[in-house]
Amino acid sequence: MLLKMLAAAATVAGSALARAHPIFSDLIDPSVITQDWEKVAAGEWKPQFFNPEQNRLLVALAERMLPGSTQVQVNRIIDLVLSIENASQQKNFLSSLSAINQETEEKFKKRFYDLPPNLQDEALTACSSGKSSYEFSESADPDDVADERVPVTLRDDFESLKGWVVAAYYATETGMRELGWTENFYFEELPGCQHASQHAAVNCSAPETTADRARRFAQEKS
Amino acid sequence: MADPGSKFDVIVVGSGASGGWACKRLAEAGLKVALLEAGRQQSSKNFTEHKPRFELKYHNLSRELVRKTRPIQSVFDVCTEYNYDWFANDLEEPYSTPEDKPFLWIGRLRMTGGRTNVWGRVSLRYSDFDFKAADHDGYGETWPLSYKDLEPYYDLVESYVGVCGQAEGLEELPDGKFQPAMPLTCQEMQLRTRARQKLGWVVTPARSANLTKPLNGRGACHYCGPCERGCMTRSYFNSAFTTVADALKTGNCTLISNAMAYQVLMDTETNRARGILYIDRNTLQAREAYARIVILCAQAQESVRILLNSANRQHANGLANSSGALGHYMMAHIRAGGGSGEMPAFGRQPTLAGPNRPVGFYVARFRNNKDGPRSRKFLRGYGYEGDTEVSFDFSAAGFGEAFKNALREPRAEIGMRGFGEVLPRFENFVEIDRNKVDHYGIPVLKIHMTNGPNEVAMIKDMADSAGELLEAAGAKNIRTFSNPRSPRWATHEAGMARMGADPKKSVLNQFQQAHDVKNLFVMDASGFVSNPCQNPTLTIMALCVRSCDYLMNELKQDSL
Repeated sequence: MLLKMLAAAATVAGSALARAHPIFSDLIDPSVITQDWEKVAAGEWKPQFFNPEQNRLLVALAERMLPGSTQVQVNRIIDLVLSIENASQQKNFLSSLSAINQETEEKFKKRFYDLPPNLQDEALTACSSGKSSYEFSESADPDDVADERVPVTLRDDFESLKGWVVAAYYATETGMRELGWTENFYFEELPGCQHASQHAAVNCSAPETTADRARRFAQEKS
Repeated sequence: MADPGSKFDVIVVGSGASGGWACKRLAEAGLKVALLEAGRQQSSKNFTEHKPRFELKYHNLSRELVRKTRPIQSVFDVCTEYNYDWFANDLEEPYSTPEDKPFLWIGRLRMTGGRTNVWGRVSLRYSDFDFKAADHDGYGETWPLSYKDLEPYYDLVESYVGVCGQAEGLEELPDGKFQPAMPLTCQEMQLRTRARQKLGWVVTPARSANLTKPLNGRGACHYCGPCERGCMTRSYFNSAFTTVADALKTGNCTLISNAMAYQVLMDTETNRARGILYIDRNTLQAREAYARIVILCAQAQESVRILLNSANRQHANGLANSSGALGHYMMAHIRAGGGSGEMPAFGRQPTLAGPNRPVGFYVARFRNNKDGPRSRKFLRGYGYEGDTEVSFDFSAAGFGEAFKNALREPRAEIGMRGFGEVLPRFENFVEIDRNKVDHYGIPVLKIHMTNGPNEVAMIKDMADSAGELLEAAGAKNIRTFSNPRSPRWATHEAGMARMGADPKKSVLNQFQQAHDVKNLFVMDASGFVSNPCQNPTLTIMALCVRSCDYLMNELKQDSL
C-alpha cells in the first residue's frame, strides 16, 4: 500500500505535486466533499434529543419521505428544534416515530431502516393511506388552529412526521433552492394582472360605478 | 445619555407612530424634547429582512423558542426567531385578566419605533361617517372633531409617511395623497371586478405605508418580503428611521432609552404635570425627568396604565379622571371572521425566487353605509384585509419524489379576514391589578374585554359575507370561519381616555389635552371616541400632529 502511494506520488512530481494531495480529488467531485464532510461531522455530532436508535430511524424515514433529507441533515434540524420543544410536542413526535416503526416491524419483521427501499415505500404507503383523525373544522380560524394535535391513527403519525420533515427540508438552503430561491432580494418590478378584461364575469353588466351603487342602495332602501 | 434630571420643554413617552410624530413636530419647531422609550435603541444592525432562514440556529422552525419568554407575543405571527427580542418579555411584563375574559395583548414592542417596527402598515382615513356615527345610528358619542378638521393633517402625514394606494372616490373611505398602488394579482383583479359587478362592493389594493417611489431619501420598496424584520432601504414606515430620526437630527430631541414610565409627576399646588417618574430597565433604579408639558404616546393601554398609576390625593381614581371614564370604553377590532377559496392560477407557477408584495387587498366597508341598507343584526361595519398567493401545495398527499412533484402544483388561494368596529362599552375596561407588579415594580393592568352581542353578530356576518364575496369571485372550495369567542382582537386597541367636549363624560378634549390637567396630553389611540373599522394608525398620526400644532399655539399664547 505504502509503496503504491509512493509510486503514485513519484509520477506527479514538481508543480503538479500539490494536485496529488487527496483534497484535490475531493474538490473536483462535490459528492465526495459531501460524503467526507458528513463522515467528519457525523463523528462530532451527537443528537441532543434523540437516542441513536431514534435518530437512525428518523434518518431512514425522512429520506424515504423526502429524498435528499439525509444530505441536508433534516434529522439534525429536527433534533435541535425538538430539544427545546415543550414536553407534549416531544412526546408526540417520539410516539409517532415508534408507532411507524412498530407497524413496520409487525408487518415485515424488520426495523424500518433495515428494509429495502421498495418495502420502506410499501410501509409508508400503508401508513399514509389510513384514516386521519384530524378533522378539518369548517369554522376554525386559521390563526387559532392549535399546532399541538395529538396523533391517534397511523395516518396521523405519518402526517405529523412528514410535516416536520417537510418543514425542516424546505428550511435548508438546498430545499429553498429547489423551490426557486436565489440570493436575490432586490426586485425592481412587481408584476400584477395585465389582462385587459380585468377578469370580468361574462353575462354581467358593466362594472358598477359609485353613482350606480348609491342609486341601487337608494332603491333597496325604498 | 443626557442628564435626565435636566429640564425639558416637553417629555414624550413612547416612540411609536404618535410619539415619533410628536417629537418631530415639536423638536423641529425648536422645543427641547425628551423622548422616553421603554425599549432599546433600534438600529440597522438588528434588521434581518434579507437573512435566509437557514442562517438561523433553529431555521425559524421553533415556536417554542419564542414562546419560552413571549408566550403571548408569539401569538402574533410577526414575532419570530428573527426578531422576538424586539418584543416585551411577557414573563417580565405581565398583565392580568379575569379568568372568563381572556385577552391577548400582543404587539408590545420594546424598541425605538414601538409597534411601527412590525405593524401591518394598512393606512386608511376615517370619514365623517365615522366621526359622526353616533348621529347616524344613535349609539355612543360623537367625536369632538370632524373630517374637515383632520383632513389637512391626513394630507400632511400621508405625504411624509408615503402611502401607496388607489383612489376610489368612496365617501366612507376617503382617498388620500397616494403613491402609486402596488398592483393586484389576476385573482384579486377578478375578485375586484366581479365583486363590483355582482355585489357593488369595492376591492382595492391595500392602502399601505410602503413606498413605491423614493421619498425624503428613503428608497422605493424592493419587494423582498418581510417588512417586520426591518428595512435596509427604509421603504416601509417605521418611526425609528423616519420621525424619530428627524427629531434627533434637530439636536433638540434627547432619546432616553430603556425608560419604563411609571407615573406622571404632579405639582399638587398648581395641579400641573411636572415630569415623569420612570424605571431604568438596566439598573432598575427610579429616575425622574422634568418638563413643562407631558405627552403620553405609550400605546393605548400603557398610557392609561400610567395615568391610573399616577393617582394621588387630588386625583384619587387616577390622573385626569374626574369623569370616571378613564380606563373605560376599551375598544379594538374584531378579526375572528373571514374565509378562503381557491382560484385559478392564471398560468403562474409558485416560486421562492420573488418578488414578494408586502401588501394585499382591502375590501371597503359595505355594511350600514351612509346611503345603504341597514343591517338588522348589528350596527357599524367592517372591511376585509386579504391577499392571494400562487403558492406551493405543502398539503399535497403522499411522499417521496411524487410528493416533491405534487408540491409544485400551483395553489392560488384567496384568504380574507374581517376587521370590524367594536362598540365602546363602559364594561370593557382596564384597571390596576393591586396584587401584581411587573419586573420593574410597576403595578400591572387588569384587562376586562369581551365581545358584546353586536360584535358577535358582526363576526358571524364576516364569515357569511366572505363566502358571498368569494362565490361572486368564482372561487372554489370556499371555507369560512367565525369564532366570536376568540381571545384575540386586532392590535388596534383604542379608547380608555376618550376625547369629548363634555369633561363630565370624557378625559381629553379634541386636542387630546386632559380636561383636568392642562399641560398633560395623551396622543395615542386612547383618546378615540369610537373605533371605526379602518386601521387606526394613520388617524393616530394625523390627530397627533393636529394636537401638537394646538399645543404650540397655546404655548405661544402662554395658555399652557
